[in-house]
Amino acid sequence: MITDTELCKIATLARLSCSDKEIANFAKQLTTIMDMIDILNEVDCDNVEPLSSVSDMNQRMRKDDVMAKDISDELFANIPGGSQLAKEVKCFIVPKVVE
Amino acid sequence: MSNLTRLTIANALAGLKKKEFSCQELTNAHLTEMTKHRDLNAYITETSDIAIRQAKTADQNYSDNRARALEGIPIAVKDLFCTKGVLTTAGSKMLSNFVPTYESTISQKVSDHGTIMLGKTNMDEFAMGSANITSYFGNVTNPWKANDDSAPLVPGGSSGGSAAAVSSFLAMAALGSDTGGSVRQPASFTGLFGFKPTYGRCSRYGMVAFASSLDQAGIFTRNVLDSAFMLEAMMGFDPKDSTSIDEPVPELQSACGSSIKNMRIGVPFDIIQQNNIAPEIIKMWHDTIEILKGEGVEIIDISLPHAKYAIAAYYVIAPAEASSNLARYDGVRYGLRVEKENMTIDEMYAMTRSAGFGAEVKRRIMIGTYVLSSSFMDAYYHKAQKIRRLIANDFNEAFTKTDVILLPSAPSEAFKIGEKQDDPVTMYLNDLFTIPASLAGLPCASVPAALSSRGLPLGMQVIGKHLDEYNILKVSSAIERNCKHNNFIAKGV
Repeated sequence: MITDTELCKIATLARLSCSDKEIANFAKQLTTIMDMIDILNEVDCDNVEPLSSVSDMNQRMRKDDVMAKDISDELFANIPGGSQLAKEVKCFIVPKVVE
Repeated sequence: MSNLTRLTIANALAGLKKKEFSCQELTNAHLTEMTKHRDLNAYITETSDIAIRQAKTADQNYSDNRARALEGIPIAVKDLFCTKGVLTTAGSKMLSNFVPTYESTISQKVSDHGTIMLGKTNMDEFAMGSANITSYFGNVTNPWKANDDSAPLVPGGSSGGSAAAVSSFLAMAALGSDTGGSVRQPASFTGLFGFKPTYGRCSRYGMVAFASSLDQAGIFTRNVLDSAFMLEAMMGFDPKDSTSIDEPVPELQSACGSSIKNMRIGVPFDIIQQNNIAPEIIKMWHDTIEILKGEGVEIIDISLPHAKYAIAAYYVIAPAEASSNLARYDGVRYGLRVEKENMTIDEMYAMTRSAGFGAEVKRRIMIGTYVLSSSFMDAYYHKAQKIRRLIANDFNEAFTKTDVILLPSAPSEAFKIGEKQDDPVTMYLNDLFTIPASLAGLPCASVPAALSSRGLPLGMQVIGKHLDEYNILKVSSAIERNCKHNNFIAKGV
């Protein structure tokens, strides 16, 4: 059972803000989903290695060559609000983060 | 000229080569049909200018005798593949203004083979859904209707726009993506052949990420041979994707129409015998087994004892990966930003994400956040990964005695828009049969195999060994040639 308080905590961790109605609704739905997931408890998984990826986990190595070109203009092409200042100074502009 | 849209890719290529019609005529025929069927809402963005320009180049290439393998074939691209200079939304308000500055490897590869891009297709938001009802750009309508009810039906999801486009002749093929069934289930609902290759066969570079250990590009076509044409162009190693498989791409076209005599087909009879599967699905399954027996195959009884845990494991693993992948949407560098005066950066994150994501995406981000939180990591996330290992082991064991495995693609025919909407778990059960192979990373396809009593298509799923796309096409082609009488074309399109 996921309570409204727990749901609020999850939403905060996920950087989502929800109305009271949304909180109640999501709490109910997440409870149903987690109840469905509880079937996993039936399975004895002692001595089973977790499978995090089906691909070969031995990552390829490559020479330490510079491959990227200067893409700084491209990085700012989709800047929220199309801020001209951000494009000129090539900095992402955000609300003040230091007092 | 609209009958040009009815051609198969093989026939279109032959006609273009013989100059029976031009690439521009073929493209224009599709653009005309797209205008006529906008009510289906299959496309988010139509790229007619690009299509016409590419068609002119393609005609020139035919004239100069330098036509490429798929020169002049008009296709649609799911709006989750980044396309340079063309809006790419992933069906979300969050990316409703996003114009990529680079091209996904898959869309680049098919374009390099000569295909023409007609537009970007609608989809469930961030590929999360099984009915194409979570898109910010509205629902997609299935061109099929039940013979006893004119209510609009869902095309399946998440690649619902791609499925609707190909099944209503608005494209000869369409790129899709399949994380837990998002190509196979809509293919089943729309009477198409849908293929998801082995995880790692198709580069994920430039695909908007949902669950990275599961996401894989796929393809919708109206027949098996057309899929072989497209897959040969799509698959292959890409150094830009760290999970890309460095193996040569096999020739696939010869699989279509070849004999399947003496092949070993695995059937999990333990699943067939469960009493909660719809009788029409069971009938299709048995009929397909009989068809294949008639082709001289050996039917092998296999067991997938952990398949019943696949949905639960998937709804831990996929949301966990999604919550991590979607953390990038914070309003800072691209996409939506919601601001107000004197807000903190944390308020900006929360306001942006709350306004930019729809309910299903928020649900999955929160499930993911919950199962990854320190108190529950072992109980849910690690447990689900262990079950994933057991499911993969079940397949490995089955494939020691079989060449392919036969499962249904979906537990039902296409349902009405609005149905199953209230309870997320009911919706999740749509992917009951497709998720096991996704968790194991195996190649798989959905081939139209029957019509329900209400006249709607039903798909049979063929699952192959790791990297064995060839045998899937062989068996699918055999099912296709025995089911041709069903004429899997929606009425009225």
